[in-house]
Amino acid sequence: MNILSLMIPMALLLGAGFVCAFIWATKKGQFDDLETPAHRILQDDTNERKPREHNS
Amino acid sequence: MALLNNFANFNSAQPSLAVDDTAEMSGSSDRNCVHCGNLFSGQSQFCCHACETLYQLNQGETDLSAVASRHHLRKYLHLDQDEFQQTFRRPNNEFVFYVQGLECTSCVHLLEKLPEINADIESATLHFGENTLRVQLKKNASLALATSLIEEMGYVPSLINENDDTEELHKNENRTMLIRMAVAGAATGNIMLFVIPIYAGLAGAWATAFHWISFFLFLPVVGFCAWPFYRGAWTSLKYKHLSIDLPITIALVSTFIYSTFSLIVGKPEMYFDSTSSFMFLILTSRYLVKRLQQQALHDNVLAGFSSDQALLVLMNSEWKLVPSNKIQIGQTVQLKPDQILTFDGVLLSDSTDFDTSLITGEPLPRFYNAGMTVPAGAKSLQTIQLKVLRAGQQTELGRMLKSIEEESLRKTAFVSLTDKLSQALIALVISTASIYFILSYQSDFHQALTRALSLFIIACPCALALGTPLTFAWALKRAKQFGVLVRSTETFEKLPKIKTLILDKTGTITEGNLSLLAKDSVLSSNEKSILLGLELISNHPIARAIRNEFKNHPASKLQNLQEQTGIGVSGHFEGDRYELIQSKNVSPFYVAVDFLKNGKLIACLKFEDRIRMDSSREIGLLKKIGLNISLSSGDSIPQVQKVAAAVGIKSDHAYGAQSPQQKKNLVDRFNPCLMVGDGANDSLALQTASVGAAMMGSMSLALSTSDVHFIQPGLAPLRNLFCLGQKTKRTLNRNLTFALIYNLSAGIAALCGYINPLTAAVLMPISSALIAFSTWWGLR
Repeated sequence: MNILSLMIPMALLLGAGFVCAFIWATKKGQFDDLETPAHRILQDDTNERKPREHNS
Repeated sequence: MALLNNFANFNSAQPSLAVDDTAEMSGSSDRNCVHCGNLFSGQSQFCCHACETLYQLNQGETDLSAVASRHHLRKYLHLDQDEFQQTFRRPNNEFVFYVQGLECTSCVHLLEKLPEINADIESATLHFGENTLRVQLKKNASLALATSLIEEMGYVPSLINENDDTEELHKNENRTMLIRMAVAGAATGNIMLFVIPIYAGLAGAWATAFHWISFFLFLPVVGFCAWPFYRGAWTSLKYKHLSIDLPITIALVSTFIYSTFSLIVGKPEMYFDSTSSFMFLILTSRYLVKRLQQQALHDNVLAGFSSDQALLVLMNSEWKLVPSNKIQIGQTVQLKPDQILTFDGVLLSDSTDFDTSLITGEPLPRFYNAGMTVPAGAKSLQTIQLKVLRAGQQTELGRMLKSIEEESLRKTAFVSLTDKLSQALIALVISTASIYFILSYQSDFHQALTRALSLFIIACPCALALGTPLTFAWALKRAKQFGVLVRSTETFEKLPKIKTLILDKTGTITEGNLSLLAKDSVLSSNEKSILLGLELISNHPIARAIRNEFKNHPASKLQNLQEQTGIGVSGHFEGDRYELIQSKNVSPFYVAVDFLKNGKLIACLKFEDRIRMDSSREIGLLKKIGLNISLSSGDSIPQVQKVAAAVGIKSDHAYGAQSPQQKKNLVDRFNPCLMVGDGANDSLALQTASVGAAMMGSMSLALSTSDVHFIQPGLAPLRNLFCLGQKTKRTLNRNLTFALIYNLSAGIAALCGYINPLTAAVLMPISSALIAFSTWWGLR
């Protein structure tokens, strides 16, 4: 049972850490627009594509 | 050239992308878009103009940079003046546009390719949900060029200045709400983890420890996440208007106090887990509704009617640029082509044509003689000078804008049914619980408290607090899928009550611009080139129609090009004199011009405003739903009757030659009704109608006074909107009925002692889940 007194605070700290990470990400604006990036990834980058040669 | 092609195709009624299984028109069939692979029904190879343009770009068929010298550029030249740029410039030389006409992923790609098209544009970022485009320009780059490029791509851009930018406002609100949601969610999940062993039978020191941990995890919920509800409850008490926040707050606070008390004293009745999960669910549903509602532009934006205009005013023998709202009576003003009069003015220059579509809705220009008074709202086609006669509210336009403001106040007084029902229920619950407690606390304090508490927790209106916003959130999402942006959820409550539909003609039933009546004109290739050459510099709607018709044709260069307003254009080519003048052939149903070579008639070209391809079918289908349809237009009566007959509207329901005020009177007669329009002259009527709907590509004034925006062309979204209205009403009713029955039976059970707070707390998420399921089922 003693291990629990280590595990529980660790788990709580971890949880708190993730909440802080989420708050940081929100304040940075990562969740402002959830729709457009989904469209953006489908774009063809034709003008920037350089032909790559694979030799394997 | 190819781009003009796209622009024209985009404006004409292409089969919409709505989920519509009756879209078999003119022999088209389902096929895959050559560019994006989506399934669609239509005649061309592409599902939308953006796909077509992107495809051509990839193939190298189009060189968009050649767009630079298009006539659109002239329209926006005033944007390059310092004063304008000041109003709209953001940090880092960024400008933000509201863009109409966004349909699909290709639109995102196309618009974000702006930097590749023009070296002066550093970056272009689209926010698909809010329909805004952020463009960053290099130093001293031309804003006019950027704006005209966006229009050339087939969209309608409007600049937004910082004060009107709701995206910024939304951003901070949304972020805070998201954080509250996250904290509530984290707290809920973790509390549940610690509570499960206790439910499983854990007792002793560990159980106490876990209880205390749940308590500490709950503190952020009650102290931070619940703030919006405390504010709402306080406002509710202050203004004596019962809102749902009040019982939520009471339940939250009382449960917290009771649970904490139990914790300290050592009793087992603690409800941290159910309360925090309830908080999390409510915060989530409110957040969803909020985000969805933000997609349609807020009221403040776009209400700045021609605020981005500065006009040249003669001051002390010098021409100075003055913002249009600072111009005074008696001043002499010079207007360039495409600038709008914001005052009534006396024409000082020679007689000329004016585009009065803003006030009358008609595409054909009106001719004004020198000395005549031109009304505010008219658009100049030439460079002219006027003397300001009346400004502001003394003009017809000013009065109309004032009426719109007054109507909008009247409109916001609408109180929704769910609101009324909520208030009744809340009042009932609060009074019942209080009365019961007062009557019985003397006899048995503990029992009275637990029963009253159970009542609160049970009646804690999950169904209302959760069900209504969830239903609206789903409905908003569905609406966007078939091309309708609903600006406020009250619209869904108003829709089922509507029996009459009032349609504007120009731009709504018809395409809104002139097209050549093909069968009447057979011209040789040379003749077409000369025709294009003649109309190269003109801004006249006929010139635009000719350019659209012969889009891919090269234009000849003519010498001695002259435009005589009210008469026509003339020029020389290889020794011959060519003219395009007003025809003697006059008819109310079309506009005719004679094409002359050395004085001899080569052809008589007829133009008309074509009816959209799907108008007739859509009107028929709308009649089948059971709606009465009327037509109201500023155009001449014979023309209006002809169009009405062509689309199936009864002639006694078709009203022509209507002024904006007359349109409003018609709406007043038929209210509750739905009005569909697109021009500034429809704005007053749109505001007055129970539900006002703006077609795609509407003028900004029409957009800001309507409750619903179409983001796909044509009338198809309207029918889907009505169906959605019915479904929403049914789902709402079902949810409310369930809420009522549940509250009544459970409330009585609680008072009789059959339900203790634990059971109540368990029933809460169950009822929430049932409501969520019922909503999803009703709107799937």
